Formats: sequence, C-alpha cells, structure tokens
Amino acid sequence: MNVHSCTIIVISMNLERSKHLHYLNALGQGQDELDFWLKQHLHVSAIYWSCMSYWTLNRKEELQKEQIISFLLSCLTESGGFACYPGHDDHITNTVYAVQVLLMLDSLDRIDRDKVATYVVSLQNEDGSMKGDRWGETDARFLYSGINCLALLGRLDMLNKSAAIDWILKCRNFDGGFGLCPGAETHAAYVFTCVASLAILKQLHRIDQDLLGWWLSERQTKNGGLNGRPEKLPDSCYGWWVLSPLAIIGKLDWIDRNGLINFTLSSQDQETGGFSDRREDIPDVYHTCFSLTALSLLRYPDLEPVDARFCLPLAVTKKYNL
Amino acid sequence: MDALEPELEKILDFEQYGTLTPIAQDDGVNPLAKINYSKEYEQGMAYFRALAAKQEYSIRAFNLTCFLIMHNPAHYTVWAYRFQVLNHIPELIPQELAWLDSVIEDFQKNYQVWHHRQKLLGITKDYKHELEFTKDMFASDAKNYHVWSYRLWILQSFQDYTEELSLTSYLLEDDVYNNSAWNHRFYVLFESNAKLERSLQDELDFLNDKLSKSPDNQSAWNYLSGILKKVGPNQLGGIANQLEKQLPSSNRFLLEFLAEYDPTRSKVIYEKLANEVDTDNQLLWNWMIQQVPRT
Repeated sequence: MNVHSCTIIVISMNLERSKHLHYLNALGQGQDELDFWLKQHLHVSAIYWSCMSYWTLNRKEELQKEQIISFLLSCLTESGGFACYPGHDDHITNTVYAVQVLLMLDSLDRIDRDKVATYVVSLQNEDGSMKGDRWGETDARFLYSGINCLALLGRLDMLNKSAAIDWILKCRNFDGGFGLCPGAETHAAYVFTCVASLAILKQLHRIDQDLLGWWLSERQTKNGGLNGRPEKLPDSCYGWWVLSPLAIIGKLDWIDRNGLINFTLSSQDQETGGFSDRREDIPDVYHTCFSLTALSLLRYPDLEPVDARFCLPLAVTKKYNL
Repeated sequence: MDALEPELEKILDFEQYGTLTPIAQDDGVNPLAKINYSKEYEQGMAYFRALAAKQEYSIRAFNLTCFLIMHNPAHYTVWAYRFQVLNHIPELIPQELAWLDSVIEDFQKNYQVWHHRQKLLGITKDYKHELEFTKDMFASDAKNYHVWSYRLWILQSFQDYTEELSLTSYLLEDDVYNNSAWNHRFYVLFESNAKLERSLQDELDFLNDKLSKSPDNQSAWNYLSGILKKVGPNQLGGIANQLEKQLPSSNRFLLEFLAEYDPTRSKVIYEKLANEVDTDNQLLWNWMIQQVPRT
C-alpha cells in the first residue's frame, strides 16, 4: 500500500446529505433509477440498503414505518422465510434483510420468531455451511446471513455452531483471508462475512488477526480507494467490506483515513445524489448504503455509528443486547 | 438471443395458454415502490405464476422461463422452475448447455447462471467439457470469481486435477499478477488431495523466476509466504538467499518475507520498514515490532 505516493485529487468535498436524501426519497417513485423495474429480485434488499442509508444519515424518522412493515410481511412465505417480493420464493438473504429492518423498526414482534428461525436452520448443511434456499446454492454469504439472522431473533442456540465454525475456518486461505467456500480465493466481501460470523459466534481468537489486518490494509490503492483482491480496481462498497473486519479486529488505523474519505466522497453523484462504485459512474442504493456505513466507520462527522458485525446501527444492537 | 427471435413470437403468443388464467402481480399492501413493468414482461410473469401454481412442467413453461430469464437473469424463482422442468423433461437437457453458453456470455457475473450450470453438471457428469468451458471463459476474464469457484467445485466433485498446473502456468505467463491463478495453484498443490507429482524445489524455482520478473507482485509474495507457513523455513533457504541477492534491500515485500522467514531478524527488519522503507504503514510495523517475542 503506497499511500505516500497517493495521487489523490484533493477535492474539497463535503458529504452531500440533502442530495442523498433526495436520491433516497426518489427511489420510491421508481423513476430515477434506470431499469429499477427489472430489479424485483432486489426489492427487499433495496429496502434494507435504503433504511440503513437513512439511519446512517441520522434521518430515521423519515422511514415510512408502517408501510415498510406491511410490505415486508407480505413477502413472508409459508416456509417461514422471506421472499424478495410478494409471490416469489423464499431465500435466506431476503430473510436476514427483512429481519434486520424489522429490528430497526422495533417490530420483530410482528413475526413468529421461532418459525423464521426454524426456516433458517433448515438451510444448514451437515458440513456446517448454509444453502441460500432449498435449491442448494452454498456460499459463505448465506452462512453469515443465517448467523446474523438467528442472532437478531435470539435463536443462535438452534444453529449447529461447531460445524459452522469449522466450515468457516476451512474457508480461510494462506494469505489470512477468506473465500466463498474452502479453496476459493480470498475476497474482501467474504472476509467480511466470515470474520463477522466469527465475531458473532465469539470465535475471533481462532484467526491470525495480524495477518488478516495486513491483507486488508493492502487493499488500499494509490488513489485512496479500496479494492477487493490484489490488482483489482477500487470500488466504494469495499469501504464497508474491508473496514468492517478491520474494525472488528481493532485495526482501523491500518488504513489511511483521509485517502479513503476522499475516494468515497468522490464517488458521490453531484447531480442526483447517491453513490456509485467510483467517480462518474451511475449511482445505486447498494453503493449508497455501503459508502455511508464506511464513512461512519471512518468517524466522518455527524453520522450514526454502525455495528460492524451486523451492519446495523450501533444504537439498535446495543438496545437489543446483541 | 438472435437465434431465438422467431421463437419469441411463439412464446409471447399468450393465446396458446387458452383457459389458463394468468395470475396478476400482487404488489402487496401499499407497495413501497410500484415497479413499472414492460407490458410483455408483466404478462409473461403473470402466466408464469399461473403455471407455477399448477406445477405445470411443460415445454411452454420452459420456453416462458427462457424469455423471463433473458429479461431478468437474477430472478432465482424462474431459474429454479426451469430446472424442475428439465428434471421432468430430460430430453431438453442436451440443448440446455448450448443455450446456457449464450446466456453466460451476456451475464458473466450473475450467480444464478453458474449455479444452474453446476446443477446441470450434476446430471450430465460431463466435467471435461466444463473444464474446457471455464478455460475458454478465462480468455475473456481471467479473474472472474464465479468461473474460478465453478472450476474449483468441478475439481472437488470429480477429483481430476491433471490440467491445473499447466492452466495456472499459462495464465501466469499471460499476467503474472493474476491473484486468482496464484490462489488456485496454491490450493491444488498445497491444500487439495490432488497428489500431483511436483517437487517443492521445482515449484520454488518457478516462483523465484516469477518474483525476479515482478518483484512488486503481492500475489507471488503471498504465495511464498503461504509455502513458508505450510512447510516451514528449512527447505526455503535457497530461495531466501537468492531473492536477497537479486533484489534491492529496499523492496518491502522482500523485507516482510525475510522477517517471517528468519525470526531472529524480525525486529530489525520491522524497524527498517517502519522508519525507512514503508513509513506510511508505521502503525502496522510498530505493532509488529511489539509482537516479536523478547528473547
């Protein structure tokens, strides 16, 4: 990481709060985002990303609470899992997103927690890994989704913990990082899912934190942004995927803070609001969410603190003793 | 998609559905964002829901999934239904792969196409064809995470590792910085149960050659560090000496490796890194100095 020779474009940039709020409000109209209508499969995810964005900007009072809850409940399927949209199939990622949002809105009592928890554990394989749905795709993201969800529901006791921990540790590579499954290349997003899983299960002592911290700090590129693997381009969402495990292992200061803030702010869209993956690309709510949560971890002023393990407001996880 | 154009008319001829009543989209109570559909897609989904409700696994259902997937390849419900149709009408399977080839070309970074392909391989068992296919995919993107994960799954399922060294050598000739290729090579040689005939010394010679050509290569240095952790320092004396002779003493990767290789030198090396060579990471190196056990 050669931050010393950073070719940072010094833009005296601020966080464009009102523009981002305008962007988030406009999403509901379905007009401002190109081909938003095709993204039915992302609908519940988009609700989570936009809720986190509002909350991180200290504007949680703008969330249309009852509307959100009714919509999420209409995505609940017979199996106990949530689908992406009414009438679609259940999936673990939609389930964790829905539960996260319901928790943020203090409304977990609106669902049968045990039924949802039973659905989640039904997806755990014998080797400890987790499927995304009954069709079997297995990926470290899904195990993290399951662990996160069960923790929020207060039913971690239902998980086969030792098998889950063993499987996560098998995903660990020679560079100290983690991949999608045993043998898969280390990738920052999977580092987040595996390290956050281990944090929730209180197993951080099982990993070489110095080696991991070093690999993560190496993600910073010359322009201050973070990439997901060596020799790849930086992307604003890696602000979250890289910083959150660093925060979990207490090594946030191994990243050059100013360089990253500059990079993240440069990926704001000055006209429409929202963040894109990098300067001058089209913004989307996913990059908006993870850019804002990254800035929060970097202690950018006047942003709501975020719990790095759950990607939820710290105020929420503290309130519920998570 | 061009080859299907004449078929599209047939698929979208909703008259053929006869008495089947389409099930309109239920956007739930007060949908938060009313989605603006294209009329055809909306109609197609309505008929899809009707077919799914009666669990009709027919040719017309199959054709409809094709249309819907081309509009929205991340629609996991539709993919799952298509696979169910294949289970009911196995005669469709031989053509499925060719169709999937064309879809993957357009949607290379989509999770569902790869998962569908993996499930198909579970039926056809023609893994050699799939290994060849992934090799072709590397020609357009040698770092595609989905392709590498898929190839890994094939190896773990069918246990045929014979091509992997030559594949990774070839890819590293092309781009010595390809982290995916380095990772794959390490897995095959040091973590899998491949039991390939390759001496450690030959591999170290290969690595030495790459490092001398690309002394700033993070991936290659990680690879060497990985080998050190696997086999210990005793067999690495040769390469450590060679690299120290060949490369400038200000090469921070070299210094990091030597600190790991020879713990008696760690403290001095970390001090050099903290104070001279890599001052931007001073916090990190000062931490590492503190971790060095006092003797």
